[in-house]
Parts: sequence; structure tokens; C-alpha cells
Amino acid sequence: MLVPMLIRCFRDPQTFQATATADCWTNLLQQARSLGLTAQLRALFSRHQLLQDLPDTVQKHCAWGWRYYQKQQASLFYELMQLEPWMAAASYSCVLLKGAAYQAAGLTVSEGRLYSDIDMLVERQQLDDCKAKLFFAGFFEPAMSAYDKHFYLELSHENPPLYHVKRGTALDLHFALFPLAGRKNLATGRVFASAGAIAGSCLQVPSLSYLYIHAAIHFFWQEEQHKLVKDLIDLDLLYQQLADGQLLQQLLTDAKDFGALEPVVNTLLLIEQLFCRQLPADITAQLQHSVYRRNVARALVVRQLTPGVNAKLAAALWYVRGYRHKMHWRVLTRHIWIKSKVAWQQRSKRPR
Amino acid sequence: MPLFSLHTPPFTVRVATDSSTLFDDLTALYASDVLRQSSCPQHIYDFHIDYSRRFSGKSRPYHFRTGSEHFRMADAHQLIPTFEWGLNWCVSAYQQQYLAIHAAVLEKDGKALIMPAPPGSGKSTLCALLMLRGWRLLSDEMCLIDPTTGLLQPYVRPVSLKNASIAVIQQHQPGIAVFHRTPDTEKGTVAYLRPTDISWQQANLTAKPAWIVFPAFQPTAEPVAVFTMPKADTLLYLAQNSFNYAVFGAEGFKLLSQLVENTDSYRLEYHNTEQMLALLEQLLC
Repeated sequence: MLVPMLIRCFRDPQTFQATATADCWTNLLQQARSLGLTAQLRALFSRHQLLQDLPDTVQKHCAWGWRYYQKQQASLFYELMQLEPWMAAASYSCVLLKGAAYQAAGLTVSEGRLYSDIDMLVERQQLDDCKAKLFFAGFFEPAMSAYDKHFYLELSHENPPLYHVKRGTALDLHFALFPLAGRKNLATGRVFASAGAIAGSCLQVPSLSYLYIHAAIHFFWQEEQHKLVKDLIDLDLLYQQLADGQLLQQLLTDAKDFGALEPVVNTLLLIEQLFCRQLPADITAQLQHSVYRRNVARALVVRQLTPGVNAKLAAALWYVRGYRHKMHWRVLTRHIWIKSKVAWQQRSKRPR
Repeated sequence: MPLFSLHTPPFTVRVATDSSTLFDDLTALYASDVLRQSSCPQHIYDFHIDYSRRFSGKSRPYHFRTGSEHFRMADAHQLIPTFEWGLNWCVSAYQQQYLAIHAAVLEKDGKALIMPAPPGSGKSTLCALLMLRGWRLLSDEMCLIDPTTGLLQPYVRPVSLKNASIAVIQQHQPGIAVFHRTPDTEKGTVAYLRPTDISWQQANLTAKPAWIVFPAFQPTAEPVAVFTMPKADTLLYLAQNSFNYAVFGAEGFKLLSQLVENTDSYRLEYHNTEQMLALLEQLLC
């Protein structure tokens, strides 16, 4: 099995550093830059006290990436500080998700990790009130068709993206962790129950296990292919922190209660296989006998990691499979029908 | 796929291409120790460029990519301009070692002249003319400020001439070799000048900034006029024309403040190039 260079590096940075040729480093730097992982590479080498042993050019690129990350981190914290007074007025929980949550909680996975938007979760019934607060904080919702709005609110798991009128910051306001059209019946309330306050802030972050569950859902029940390696690295870093805290059993319990055991079981198996992690014996035993093992789906992931015709075929199957998870076939059929009809009507109205 | 490499301090680039002409075309523009026919197996390159056709067929365009990032496509006759723009994109988008400003930089007697200006202001024309009059070229596109020393790092590359500036250079320097004149690009007709030997030889030698000049070609104005620029205006303009000022944050502000404090800033309006060059050299040297 060929494993991508970035995964090999994150799997065992000491061995990678000791054996990499100049050609390997050149390729690693290109791949890391493409996925926005250069600063995470620097954090990895720093955690393993290898930074000073790296070739000068690699150190230089790590410094480039780190400088950019520090700017991003400062911007994120600034945005959160701006949100603080508005969300402090809310009588309900406002829970940060994904990158913003990793940074706010100071997790290992956040070290060097870039972000593109802020993700926040509120209860469905508080959505309008939260949007009103965000409106006064300077966020607006761009105009869109009635159907697109219906799609976001009734079939998706989030409000249409909000943007800050001056700073352009993107904010995704979630009311669930996964599209409703997927009909997964996930227990979103448990995310709020698991969440803890960030010290000195009104904002909250989910527990580590729910952060992993969220990352696993978006990895295993989706159709995107371009950032599989990046997502796997995130999952591995979250896994390591769970393992260090002896929270893996808690993870499986939470995943079962939440209704997302399938993505958690299979991402753990992928981490074990690709990153050569030694899972605790009790966890291995549970995974071995799990009815949620999806061998074909995991094979599709692994196949996509090595270039070639087979990877393209696997990517096509992964795409179809991802949509099957995100949208029930009846919803998908209706969605395709309406979008095609709207496109046809717009085409007919276009001046010739 | 054949590989060649460019060792233009402070960045090195490895290029994979299926073009049979690209390397030979670039030999006219780069020094022989800078442009190398193969990649060095012991060297770690800053950028790997894939510049090839994605589908077979002679009419198919070339794709300029680094990693999985696509810059743009080029037809065979626009191979050189797109290559040069692509290299500029790699450096301006990804390097965070130097505070980078969109400006031409030249040096004489140990003092560096920075010329930031928008397209059409005559920056490249002026840069080319000064280089041909003996000034050392550091860059005609990017002013790289080392944050640890405040000195300017050369990034010597061919000088890009556009549209009317090609004829201006040929008129002022008859017989000068202008390479790869390419019509109908998105910037009009472009052509390239090879940097002078002294520029290549001192491509690792930093320079101390002494002057900031904002050239402005104005056909209806006085033949030549010089105004002192307020330092605050100069700082704001430099910040707005920096590729990574926001990334450097407070450090960037300090760097630009020091730069502006330690240099003289002028706005240079002209339509008579000969008079302008005489005045500029009188003013600066």
C-alpha cells in the first residue's frame, strides 16, 4: 500500500526526517503548501523537537507557513472577541465548531491549522434570534432564491453563510452537525450537553469526543476528494489527544448515543491502518466485531490516496456514495428536478 | 517529464514541462549559472512548477501549476509571459520571509532606489533605462525587504516591457536585444530584456534603501517635474501595494515606518524621458 508522503511524515516524523532525500523534501513542501499544511508541519516537527535538525530550506518554508498561521490565528481571535459582547446577550448556548473550536480549546490539532470561516452551532429554535444578534454585529446574509434558502434551512444543517459587512469574515451558523436531508436522526442535543465554556468567554466548545465525531462525519459521509489527506491528518491528531486522555471508550459511547458510530468506527480503522497507530486492545476488539465496519468505503478512501486511474474510479464512486449519505434519494431526486427546472427557466428568459 | 531548474536567489524553482522550446527560449533571458538544464538531486527547491499540457494535441494549452494550485493556461506562443507571471505569482502568494512590495528596485554606489507605481506609470521603462545606464537591477517587479536587517534582497529576473515601452527602450538604446516579443497577451504586447551582467553577478548582494520614487508618465504635463512626497502618504502607498503587509502585521508597520523614515521620497512626473533621466540621476547621485 502506497501512503502519501504527508501521511508518512505525520505518522513518524523522526523516521521521515532521518530518511528523506532532497527530492522528498521538495515534494513534501509542495504538497503541504497545496493543502495549507506548512504551518502544521512546523508544529509537528516542533512537538518532536526536530525543527533544528531540518534542512535550511525546510526550516525556511516552515517559518513562512508559521508567519501566515500567526496572522490567521490573530484574525480568528479578533473575530471571536468581536462576537463576544453580542453572544453574551444570548440566553442559550453558542458552541464553536471545527477550526474555531480547535483554536479556542487550544488542541494539538489547532497548532498551525488554517481556517477559512467561523462555524458556530445554536439550537434550531434560536436560529432567528442568533441571526438578529449577528446582524447587529455587522453580519449579513447575501440574497438568494427562495428555493436555495429553503434548501439551507430545511435540507441542510446550517443557515446560508453570513459575511461581515466590513471585514468580509465568513460565519457558518449551524443548527445541526449533518444535513437534515441525510435523514440520519442524529442527537444534536447531546453536542450541547457535552459542551464546556471557554475560560473567560460566553462561547462554548464541544467535548473532544464530539469534535472528533463531527470531523469523522464530515470525512466519512461526504463526497469531497480534494482534502482527504488534510482531513485524515486532523482526525489522527484528534485521535492522539483522545488516546492520550484515555477517552477512546468515551468516544465510542458518545458516537453510539449521537447516532454516528459508522463514521467513527471506520475513521478509527483508517487511522490504525494509514498512521500505524496501536489502538488499545479493548477498542480494537470492539472495532473488530462492529456491524458498522464499511470495508469497501475504507478501500475507496485508501485507493484515492495514490494517483492513477484506479484513484479516479474510486473518487467517482466516493462521490456518488457521499451524496447518498448527505441526501436521501427522494430528496436528491426532488432537488435535481427543481434545480434543473430553475436552470431551464432562467435559460429561457435569457435574451438571445 | 524533462526537468530543468532556475536558481534565482533567494528562491529556487524546479520545472517539469513537456514543451520542447521552453528551456531554449529561457536561455536568452537568464544567465547560464542561473538556468540549469537539469534539477540538482541534492537541492531542495522552493517551488516545483508543472508546466505541461494536460491532454495530448499540439493546439492544447499549457497549464502552469505548483502542487495542486493552478495559476493559468497558456497557448504555445504565450509560453514565456505566462511562465514569468507564474513565477511572480508563486513568490508573491507564498513567500513570507520578506516584506514584499510591488515595485522596481535598482542600486548604484551602494544605495538602492525603490520605484513603486501602478501599471502604465512607466515604472518598467524607467527601470530598464536605468539598468542600461549602469544601475544594478535588483528586481523590476518585487521589492523584498529583509525584516531582520531592513536591507533589500535582490530577486533578479528579466525586465518585462509592455506595449509602447518596447519602442521607447529601442529608441533610447538602439541595437538592444529585446527578447520574446509576444503580442495579444492580456497585458497587450510584452517583451523582455535580459538583466545586465553586474545584476546577475551581484544577485546575492543586498542593498540599503536610499530613495523612493513614484514615477508618473503624463503626456500633457511639464517635460519633467519632481515633488517631495509626504512620508505618511508614502507609507500608506507602500502598505497598499504590498503583497504581504497584512501577514507581517505590526512588524510590517515598523518595517515600512523605518524604510520611509530613512529614505527620501519623491513623485516624478514626466513626458520627456531624456530630461527625466538626467534630472533623476542629478537628484540621486
